[in-house]
Amino acid sequence: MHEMTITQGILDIALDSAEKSGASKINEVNLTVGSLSQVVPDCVAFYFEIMTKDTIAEGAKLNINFIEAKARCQACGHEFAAEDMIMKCPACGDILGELITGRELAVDSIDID
Amino acid sequence: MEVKVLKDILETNDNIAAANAAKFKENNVAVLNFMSSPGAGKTTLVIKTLEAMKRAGIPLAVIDGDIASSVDADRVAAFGVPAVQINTGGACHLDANMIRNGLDKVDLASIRLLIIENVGNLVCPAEFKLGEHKKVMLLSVTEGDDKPHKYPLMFSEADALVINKIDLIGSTNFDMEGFQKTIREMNPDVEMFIVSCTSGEGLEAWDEWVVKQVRELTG
Ligand SMILES: Nc1nc2c(ncn2[C@@H]2O[C@H](COP(=O)(O)OP(=O)(O)O)[C@@H](O)[C@H]2O)c(=O)[nH]1
Ligand SMILES: [Mg+2]
Ligand SMILES: [Zn+2]
Repeated sequence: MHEMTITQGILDIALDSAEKSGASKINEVNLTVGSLSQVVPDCVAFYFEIMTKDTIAEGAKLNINFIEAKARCQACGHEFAAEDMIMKCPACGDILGELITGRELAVDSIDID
Repeated sequence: MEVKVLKDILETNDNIAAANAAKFKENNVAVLNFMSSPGAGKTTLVIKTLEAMKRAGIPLAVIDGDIASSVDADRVAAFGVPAVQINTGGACHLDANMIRNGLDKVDLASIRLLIIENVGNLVCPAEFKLGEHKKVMLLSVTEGDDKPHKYPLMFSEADALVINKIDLIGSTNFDMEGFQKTIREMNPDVEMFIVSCTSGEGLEAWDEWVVKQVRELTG
């Protein structure tokens, strides 16, 4: 729902690093997005296409590397899916799960000319 | 050619939030961020809380975030408490920069508590740090007990959860025991309060919690 803010953030970061590398064109932008980040990929892609108009990122491909939410039990070390944010360990029953992945929202790399 | 970037998209917001937090610390102000869906009772709880803070002798101010209008800030200002309205211009959440700008209109030196009422939304506000000390989430029983499954992030990040409109529970199928069990499995440390902001039921414990936060955070 806040995809416009997020997309602006992505574009700012991409243009900034492209400029630092002296690029004339951005071909691809690679993102890491955790499943808990509540970002709708199609929505980001839509805004990205609009916002990149008349920038060196116009027409660039947006690639998203999805990361599933996972927690690790602090009692027994068991790792389990945590899409629902339930931190109860399915192995030992303690409510001691600590989220290890799922909150990512980052620009990993860009492909430039 | 591929160039590594490795930059968090919310980093700019997080940096401004950290600057806001430093400002709060410098001025010795405790900050609570109220979040819920529209109509859960945020403004009503703000008003109840400011009455309690008056009794406890704790000066406070309120920042009200809304997509448009200044209705909420007007409701708060009617109680003689400084209230700043931030209109997000369509954005579904407050961000740290909006708070930074809003702080220009708040005399931080004269208060010990700042309550921020976020935009009514269970999704987006959870992602944007403002520099607050505690996240307070409200859920009214009329919204249903399945909400933690639909909006897990907000429920798992809250420091306090106010379950409001308990006066209406008889006309719903809200399963309080099952709901609280789910919340405990998501967020074992969260403080829960079962209240009615209209009848006042359960608000003593809430008021005490707020006073305790102010004492602990502002020394
Ligand atoms: N029955 C009942 N109504 C409430 C309670 N708390 C708030 N309300 C009503 O719910 C409506 C929305 O409240 P408001 O504080 O404006 O919600 P906000 O949108 O979260 O700020 C108002 O009509 C309030 O009077 C409560 O505990 N019980
Ligand atoms: Mg309100
Ligand atoms: Zn375990």
